[in-house]
Amino acid sequence: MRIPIGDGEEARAPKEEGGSPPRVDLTEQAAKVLVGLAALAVESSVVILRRVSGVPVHDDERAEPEGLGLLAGAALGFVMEAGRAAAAAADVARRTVVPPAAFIAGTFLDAPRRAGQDRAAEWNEEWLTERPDAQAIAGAVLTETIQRAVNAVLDQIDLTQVVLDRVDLDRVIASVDLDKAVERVDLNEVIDHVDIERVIAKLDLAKLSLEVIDQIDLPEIIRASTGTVASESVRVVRMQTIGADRAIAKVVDRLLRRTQDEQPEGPPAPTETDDGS
Amino acid sequence: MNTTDWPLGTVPAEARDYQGELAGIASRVVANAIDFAVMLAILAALYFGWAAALFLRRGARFHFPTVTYAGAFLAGSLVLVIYFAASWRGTGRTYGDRLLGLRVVKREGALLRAGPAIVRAVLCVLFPLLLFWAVFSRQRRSVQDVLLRTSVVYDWRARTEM
Repeated sequence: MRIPIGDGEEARAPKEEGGSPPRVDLTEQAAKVLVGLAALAVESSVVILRRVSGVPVHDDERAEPEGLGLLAGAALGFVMEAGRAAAAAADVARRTVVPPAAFIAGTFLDAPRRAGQDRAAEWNEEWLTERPDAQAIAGAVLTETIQRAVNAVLDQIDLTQVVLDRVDLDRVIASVDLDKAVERVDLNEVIDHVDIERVIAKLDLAKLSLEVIDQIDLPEIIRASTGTVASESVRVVRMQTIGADRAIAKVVDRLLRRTQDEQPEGPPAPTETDDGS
Repeated sequence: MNTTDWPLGTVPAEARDYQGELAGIASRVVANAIDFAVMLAILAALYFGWAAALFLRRGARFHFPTVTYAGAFLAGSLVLVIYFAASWRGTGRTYGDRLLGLRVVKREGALLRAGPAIVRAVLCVLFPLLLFWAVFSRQRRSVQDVLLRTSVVYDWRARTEM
């Protein structure tokens, strides 16, 4: 008979119980490992005791077991069996308990989860239908809030001063193409919007007129254009008769064979003509 | 008297060169024609005024007074003499002269006195054709101008400027 000690016994054990589920194997393996370790410890202790007591060490495995070895082997075998029985019991208990537990868990724990999911779906639907209104309201609130906040901020800040302090206006102006901007402005449209009557009302037209009259000597113009010459037609008749006078005088001079030198030149004053005649 | 000495503020620029120059026959004939029309208008006014007086005096027996040629000639001549003399003495220009821009002046450009004005008026009314001596005169003077040492000049100025 063999003392169930060593790796050989432990290695064979799983094969004998090949049909058992992995969990049982694991339990049993764990038990075997523990027992194996204990057996090793015992065997080592026996060898050490023999060497101390001077008894020669035999490496023969088929040798008769001695009293101490037999006792230890029996103890270990017993432990082994006990572990095996415990593992089997644990397995039976697990098989008995797990399905009902799973059922109970599925019934009492899963139902709330599904209910929760349904409820969430409902809420989601509700949200989708009310989303536009909610978003619009939220947007309005947001806009109003931002406006108020910005206004409140701007009230506290002297923006003009900020610009003057921090902005290089010369550079900004240099980057603006004013000609192009002016080209885009419809000045006629601008003029249509200007209240010219009001501008004129602001001018001191009387003073302006007097200054202009001073510059152009208006009285002289009036004298020159009207004066004693009553009308344009009288002027025309006078000039035409003067022309006729000259034409007749020319004809007469030619008939009388007068030369240009003999004619009274220039505007003959009455006093001179008196002497001449 | 020279043109350049005259104040010409009211005279149009194109006529300034002629101011003070002796007037030609065309201007004087046109002026006399206008004066003749003025004389006729005065005669007509006198005639109708006389007729109105007769109407008021005679009432139903009123008829327009008959005017003989001699009577009309005399009346017209008298009107013209008074009209010419008063005009030349007063402003140097009749209404015809005024329209044509003429003025009758004696030496130094002064206006005629009453005596020469009346003499000239009588001569002009009695011998109107003597005006045409101005066509041939080098100084554009009629016989009356020669006798009385007067001249007719272009003068567009108002009387206040003289």
